[in-house]
Amino acid sequence: MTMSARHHRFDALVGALLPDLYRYAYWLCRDRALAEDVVQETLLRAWRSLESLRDDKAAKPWLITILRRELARTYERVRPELVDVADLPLAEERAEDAGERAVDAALLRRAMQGLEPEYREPLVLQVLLGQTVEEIAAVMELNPATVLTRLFRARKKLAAALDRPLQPLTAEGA
Amino acid sequence: MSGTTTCIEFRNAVGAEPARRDPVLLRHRLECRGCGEFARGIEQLDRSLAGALAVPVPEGLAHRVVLRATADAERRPLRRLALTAVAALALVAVGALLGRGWQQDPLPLGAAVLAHAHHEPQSWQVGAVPVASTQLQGVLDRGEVRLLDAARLGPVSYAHSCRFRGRQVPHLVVQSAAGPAMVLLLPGERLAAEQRFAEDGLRGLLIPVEDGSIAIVAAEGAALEAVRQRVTSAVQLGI
Repeated sequence: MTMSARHHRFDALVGALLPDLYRYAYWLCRDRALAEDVVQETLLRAWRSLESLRDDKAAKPWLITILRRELARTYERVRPELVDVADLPLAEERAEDAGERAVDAALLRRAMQGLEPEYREPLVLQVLLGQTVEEIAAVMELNPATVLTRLFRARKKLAAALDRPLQPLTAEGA
Repeated sequence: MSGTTTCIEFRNAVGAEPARRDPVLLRHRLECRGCGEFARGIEQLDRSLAGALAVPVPEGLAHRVVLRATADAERRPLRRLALTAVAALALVAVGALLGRGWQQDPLPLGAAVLAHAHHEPQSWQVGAVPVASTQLQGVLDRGEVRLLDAARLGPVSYAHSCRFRGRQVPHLVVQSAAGPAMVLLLPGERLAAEQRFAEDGLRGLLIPVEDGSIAIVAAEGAALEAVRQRVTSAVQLGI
């Protein structure tokens, strides 16, 4: 592959994903500076190992996996100080959007902040990055049934935090 | 999923995968009022969640990706490969900023200057002791820069010959009453016009001169202007 073709390929694979990669990193570590560092290192590593990506359709989970590994490496060196994410503005918030939605967002962010990582990550992968249960299971090296359980429990906890508990007919499964 | 489902199965499935479009689930949703309300509640929760998760992406993130890659390129022994990464990431950055794909823009000189400024933070000491005149002269000689008037240049607290875009160039820190300023003397880096840039609290200036350009970076605008006057009249690029 020529260098120009390599550039084309990398740009097409990574360009549009940059904002969501940052957000994913952010919700994993809950530290803005650390998330940015991790994303930068992720893209450098992705470039260096571009040939290892056989199928361009698999770019998103490939980048997610690189990012998770990079974050794990970073956690070996540094523990982030957490900030109150409820204070962060919405990405494209407008004045007229204030009100119940903004209140929900602040509550949800606090609830997400308090959610255990094993529940928070699959939810972010599904809602933010549009990953399927099977893809989440592959990235997190879990059984799909476990992913389903965690996703349900994560939503149940968030709904409770918003004071809008889900209406289970019985306690949910495992 | 089999041909029928119970309310428990429905809620467990929809609570885990609200976007799932299984015909059996859809039929149950239509037939069971309670489960229909449950599904709508989950969908509303996900809409709120999608907004809450969309934390703002830091301004200039794409640009800083390029800066990081530039620093990486200067550090790594396989420089050619790393510089190629810089070019590729610059394209991603431009694409992310402009919302479109392939761009032919090269890495901007200002971005490379700022990356170098971040690369040697130890040089930024306010009021540091001036370097010996022999050290300053040696650095300028290596960079093929002539010192016309040392007194006009004023106190220089840091002078090193640095690798920058394929050349050894003088990297100075000049002290002023308004604070220190980093100066890169860049023979061969020709510019059509003066350029200004800013990033992470630093301001930069690229000044075209005969046979190249001079880059000045400072935290304070006053330092930038003070050092500009002194440097441009004290040195000449290209011996």
